[in-house]
Amino acid sequence: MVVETAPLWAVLVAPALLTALAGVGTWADRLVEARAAGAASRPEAVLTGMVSDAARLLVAQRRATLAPDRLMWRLGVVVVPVAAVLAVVVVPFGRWAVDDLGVGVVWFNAMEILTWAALWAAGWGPNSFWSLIGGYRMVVQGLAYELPHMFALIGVATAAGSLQVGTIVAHQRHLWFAVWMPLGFVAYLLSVLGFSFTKPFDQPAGADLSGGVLVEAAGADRLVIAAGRWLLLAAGAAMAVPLFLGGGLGPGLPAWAWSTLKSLAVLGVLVAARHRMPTIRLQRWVPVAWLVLIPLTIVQVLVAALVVLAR
Amino acid sequence: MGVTMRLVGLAARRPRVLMAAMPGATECRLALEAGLRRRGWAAVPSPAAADVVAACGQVPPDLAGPLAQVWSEVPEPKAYIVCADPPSVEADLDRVAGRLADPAGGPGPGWAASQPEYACSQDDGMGMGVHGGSGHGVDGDGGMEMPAGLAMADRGADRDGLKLDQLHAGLGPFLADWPAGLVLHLVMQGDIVQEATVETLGATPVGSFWNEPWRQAAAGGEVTAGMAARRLAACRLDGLGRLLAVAGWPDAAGAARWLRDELLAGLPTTDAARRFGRLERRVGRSRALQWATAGVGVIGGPDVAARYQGWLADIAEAVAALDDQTPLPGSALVRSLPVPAPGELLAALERAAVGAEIGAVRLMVAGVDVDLDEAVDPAGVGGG
Repeated sequence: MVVETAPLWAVLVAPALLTALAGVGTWADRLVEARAAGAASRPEAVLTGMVSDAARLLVAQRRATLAPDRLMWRLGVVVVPVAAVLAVVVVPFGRWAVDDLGVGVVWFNAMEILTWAALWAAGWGPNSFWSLIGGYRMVVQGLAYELPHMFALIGVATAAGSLQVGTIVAHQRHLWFAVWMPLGFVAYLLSVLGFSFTKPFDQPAGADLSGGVLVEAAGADRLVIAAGRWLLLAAGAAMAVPLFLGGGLGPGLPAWAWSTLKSLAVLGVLVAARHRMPTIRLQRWVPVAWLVLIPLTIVQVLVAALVVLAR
Repeated sequence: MGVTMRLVGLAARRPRVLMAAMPGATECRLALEAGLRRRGWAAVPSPAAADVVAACGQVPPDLAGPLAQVWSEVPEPKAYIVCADPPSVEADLDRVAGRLADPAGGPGPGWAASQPEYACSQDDGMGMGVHGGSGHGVDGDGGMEMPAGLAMADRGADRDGLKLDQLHAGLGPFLADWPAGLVLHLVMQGDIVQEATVETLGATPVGSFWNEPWRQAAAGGEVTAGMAARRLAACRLDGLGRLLAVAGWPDAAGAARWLRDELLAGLPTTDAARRFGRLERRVGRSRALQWATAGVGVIGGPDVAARYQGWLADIAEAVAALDDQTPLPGSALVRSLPVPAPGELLAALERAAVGAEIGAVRLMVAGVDVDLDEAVDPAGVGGG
């Protein structure tokens, strides 16, 4: 077996590892931005900034707007990090996954779709115009990234003949799926940026709406949703490794080391993408997603199916 | 309380600042932005994300109300400063950090246990928190009791011939990366603007900071062409920084603002050329920025993409002329001023915003880069 279900205590380890990965991503991201802007950018100064931000959000008041839909608002905010943590249940770290479900790919997909609804709810809840627009932008964004995302996953599952992440990793013993399914890999990475509403796909929380879904979030609410965003990005980066980059397989090093290195590499690529370009406006992106990306990912699935038939 | 106070102390090491730019105080804003950069403090776009409100410049009477509104929306613990004197910005920032961290004085009334949540009223100074209420046109609600006493929205015909709810909202005056003193009153359906009306607040047309060298030359002062070129380059970098921030590219915006401040502080020509070259490659050749801004803009005028390319060309030309020692002629053509009188631009904005998506309107405003410190031509605005 390439991947095994870990003992029960892994339930505690997985969120910690995910948080560490998200923390490294945030730190690198802030470092790059500070360097570009000529701000105080010593690595430890950036770390201080992160600690300080977390401290502020812990002590600051939360916000009550006029006539909010409190249930939807809180639910939307909380589900973002919860979905990220639940998604990594099926992501193997080296040889171990919290649970290598038989339908692992579907589980991951379902958790990621939760965030789509959650962000809409977080935008709807405060009864604020700007946050509502942000929420609906997320709906539109989901329409643009969900189908390419699913077709990318279907391509992987078809090639491995299984929805189990362990089996998918085992099928990449000789060749990574990223090598012969590059379109699926790229579509997957784009969708990770999409579901974690990360730059350049951050229009739901865009600067032009003064923060969109985040505009009314203060104190602990803000901390939870901002951290959840990074946890989602980290979860997406970690899942790219077993799906496309051969998981923990690799020469020399132990499997957990390969998983770590590959996850950091994918996260590095995603963080770099954040800084390379401005926000992509949905008005411009949705036509491209539907007219270019979806057909391409369908072709990718067909290729995978033909390869499986010919084997 | 021990843990809480330690957290308060940690938080005070890197405050997050909501900058409220006042008209006629460009220098204060620049000094504050530079001060924040040196300390690694971040400027944030909404009151909920801030713990410091910094008024850049003296607060004119008609902006005091909106500012108080913004202040009420910042969560405790919070602090407020007025930076009205550019050289003392550093001291102001030290003071505000001290106030945030000060455990003896307490972070402020209404904080923590007594009031874990804070409410805000219906309409705010940023125009960013219209929670129904005052914003809506009142419809006859037939004596039915509405949630939280809010009125129902009015309806109006939309562009597809349907009848949809209308929301009366506003952009400004205290919006991040937004011209000081500008308010854009909007009637919205969804995220589409149906009507737009410009209002200018606190306007004391003292003349734009960016036009200063030309004004001095006209008044008989000794100004070299190099000094004017330096100011022009900084002016365009300021506009570029604002546009890039609105377009969601904080890295490039930060780089443009950093170079702007260094230029104003007297960066030598060779360094300026090298650093601008890097910025120009990054921004000028960005297809994503081109894609986001092409076709967005004032009717009949250049689109936002053409405008920022024009700014880049202006900066390149100005950076090449930084060492020009020839005196600026006193009659230096008013039409070549960096910042024109805003009247026509504002009127064009009102027209162009109609039918545009709200994000596109933000890009448009950043793209025309109006400065209300130049005298507003009263005939141009708000007449119709």
